[in-house]
Amino acid sequence: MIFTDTGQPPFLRTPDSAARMSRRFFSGLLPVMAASAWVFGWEAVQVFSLAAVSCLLTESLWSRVSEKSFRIHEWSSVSTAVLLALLLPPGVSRWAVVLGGVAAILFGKMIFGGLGQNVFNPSLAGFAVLAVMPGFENVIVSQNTAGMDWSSVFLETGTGLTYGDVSKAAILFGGMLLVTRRLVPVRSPFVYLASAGIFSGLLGRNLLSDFIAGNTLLFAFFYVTDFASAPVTSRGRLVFSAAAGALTILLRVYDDSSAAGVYALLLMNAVAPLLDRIPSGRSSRNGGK
Amino acid sequence: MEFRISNQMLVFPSPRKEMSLLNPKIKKAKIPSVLTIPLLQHRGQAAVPVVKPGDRVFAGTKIAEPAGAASVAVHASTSGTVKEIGEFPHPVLGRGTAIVIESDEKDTPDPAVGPRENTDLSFEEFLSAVRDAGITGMAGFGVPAHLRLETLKGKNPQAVILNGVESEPYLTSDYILMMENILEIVEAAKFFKRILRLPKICLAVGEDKLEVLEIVRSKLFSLSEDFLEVVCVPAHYPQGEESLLIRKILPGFRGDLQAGEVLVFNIATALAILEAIKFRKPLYERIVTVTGECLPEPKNLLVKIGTSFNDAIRNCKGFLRKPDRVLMGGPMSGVCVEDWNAPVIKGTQAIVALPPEDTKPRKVLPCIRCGLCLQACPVWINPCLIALAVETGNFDSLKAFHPERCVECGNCSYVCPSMRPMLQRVLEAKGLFPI
Ligand code: SF4
Ligand code: SF4
Repeated sequence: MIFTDTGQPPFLRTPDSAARMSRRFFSGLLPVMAASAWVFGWEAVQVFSLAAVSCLLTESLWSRVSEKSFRIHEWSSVSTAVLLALLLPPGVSRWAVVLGGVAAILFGKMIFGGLGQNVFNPSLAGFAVLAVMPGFENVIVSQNTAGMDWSSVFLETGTGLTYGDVSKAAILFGGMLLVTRRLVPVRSPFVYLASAGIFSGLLGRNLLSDFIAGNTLLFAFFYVTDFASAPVTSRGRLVFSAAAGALTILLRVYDDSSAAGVYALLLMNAVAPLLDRIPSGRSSRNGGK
Repeated sequence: MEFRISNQMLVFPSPRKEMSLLNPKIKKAKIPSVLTIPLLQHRGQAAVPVVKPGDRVFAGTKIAEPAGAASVAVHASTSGTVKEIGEFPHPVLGRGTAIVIESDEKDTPDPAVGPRENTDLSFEEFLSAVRDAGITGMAGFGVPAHLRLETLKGKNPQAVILNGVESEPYLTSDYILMMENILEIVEAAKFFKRILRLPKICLAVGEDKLEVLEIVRSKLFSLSEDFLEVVCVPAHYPQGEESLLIRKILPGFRGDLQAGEVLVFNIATALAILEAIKFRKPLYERIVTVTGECLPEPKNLLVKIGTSFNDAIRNCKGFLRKPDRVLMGGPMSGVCVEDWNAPVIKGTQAIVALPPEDTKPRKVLPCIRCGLCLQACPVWINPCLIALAVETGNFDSLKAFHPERCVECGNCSYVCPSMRPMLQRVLEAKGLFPI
């Protein structure tokens, strides 16, 4: 373990820490989890805990096997677990939850070298791995609900649901908590939403159904804003979120399911490092000028 | 809660200035029995001693002559005898050659120090007077003042900014100077304006020092002078940094900062120059904020150059508890002084005894790519990717990130939630590309 060299300036350091940021990020998920537990009861609580346990166990086992200590970001693993569970449809088999958690940590995080080094958003990677495993196709649900109306903003109980999007109001509340406390890139969610909205309009789709029925809102606040798998420069983040939003809608045209956002974002994750190098006028953060 | 959509993060480290302001007056420090005066107190060449052990000196006697262009004279800070010349602890360099003076406790001024009859100097006379008075930049390990002034030669200087921003935590020496010596500051400004033929001279004061602003404005009003422009600038760190201050005050300024159409002087430096011109008084004492949670009575002291850190701290009743780190300068960009027998030099704005709870080593974790370091960087470079390139040895890509623009403020290290040594990485990168 390396420690800060206190003989070097600056001698004051921020009172914040990466672990604290993960903890506070998790607190933004609480409203969404609460709404889910309200609608699905015990089942949701069980799925969340199961995913968390599976993620934490995988992480601690891995840190035993490899010499490095990964057990420094427990809350980030719990967030990963919950973010995975939020993508799953109610009534999903418990095996899917456990396997998804293992896959998220192993393939999403650890093979890249732990938190911050991961190319893909771990929850999405776990979900994608799960979806291609034989027998688990049913984790993807169709979300083509043309007949939605605004009354379903607060609570939805129809079909095509996942644990995550029962209540748009809860998502908005939790997301705004994160944004106002600047725990996530402030502009990304709104750029993602705007871009998705514009594309949805351009393609003549039902805006309402894209926002209300789909998991666009959930993605905007909790997945697009993941630090490690997004670009680090602000311009990179803008392009990243805009492209992810557009891609989500494009994929939805072909397959109106909960997986559209997942694949769109995974694709963008893969090119995120390139987006850091988009030259910009005033700043030299992106390289160039 | 304030909600900003901007991607520039303003950094406000906890100010901790109130400690040293509980004694809101400048106190004279006790003159120690032995003073160690280093020959090199600035960036450049050391001076050459002109005294030998056993010589009698007075406060303000020249004891070393400048050698080379980037060198200034060094003066005795009190009266007494020269004891020896040799290697002694140095606050910045670790060790360095110094002249030791044994005080006779009378503090008799040198006869050469006294009011100058004719202060209507030509530019060259002015420069040599400043150099002879041994004046350097008085914030940190500075540059000789005459070198800075020389860049104005043959140019049309646009402005001089008197820098009273002091955005570093703990420091209050400029604040105290402005509170107590505002008339002298106005006089210094007038003098600068006349001798450099400036179209504009400003006094920049941080937003956290509104009372100073009020005092200056009311004094200017009662003197019915309007040549000194008093500017209130935001107090986030590092607003006091020269190039940033220039950009803030002269937004349209596109000139080369090095070429010197605009100069920034510390309040302390400006006053030292005024004293050198008006009273032929060389720079042999300065205001030092002696502060920190580890001291029972933090104060602003008028300290003779050459007083050891230990002696200066003794004026504040010693240590309340033992600090791990004693700094010269503020905690963001100061230097850590290992040997507390090192003397106060011309650039020692402050002696800060940091409390142990602030200097506890913390775990360094991998980067989580939060982007805070970029947002906190005042010159818009990307410490995150620079550090990544340095650590992976990818030096070719470094140049595009312009590490040479870094002003070494330390914000990137300060905000990093993973406690990564960003500043040191950027400095490594900067070292690879000397401008
Ligand atoms: S890179 Fe340099 S200028 Fe930018 S925040 Fe770090 S130390 Fe300050
Ligand atoms: S502040 Fe630290 S953790 Fe965040 S991007 Fe910069 S180096 Fe990485």
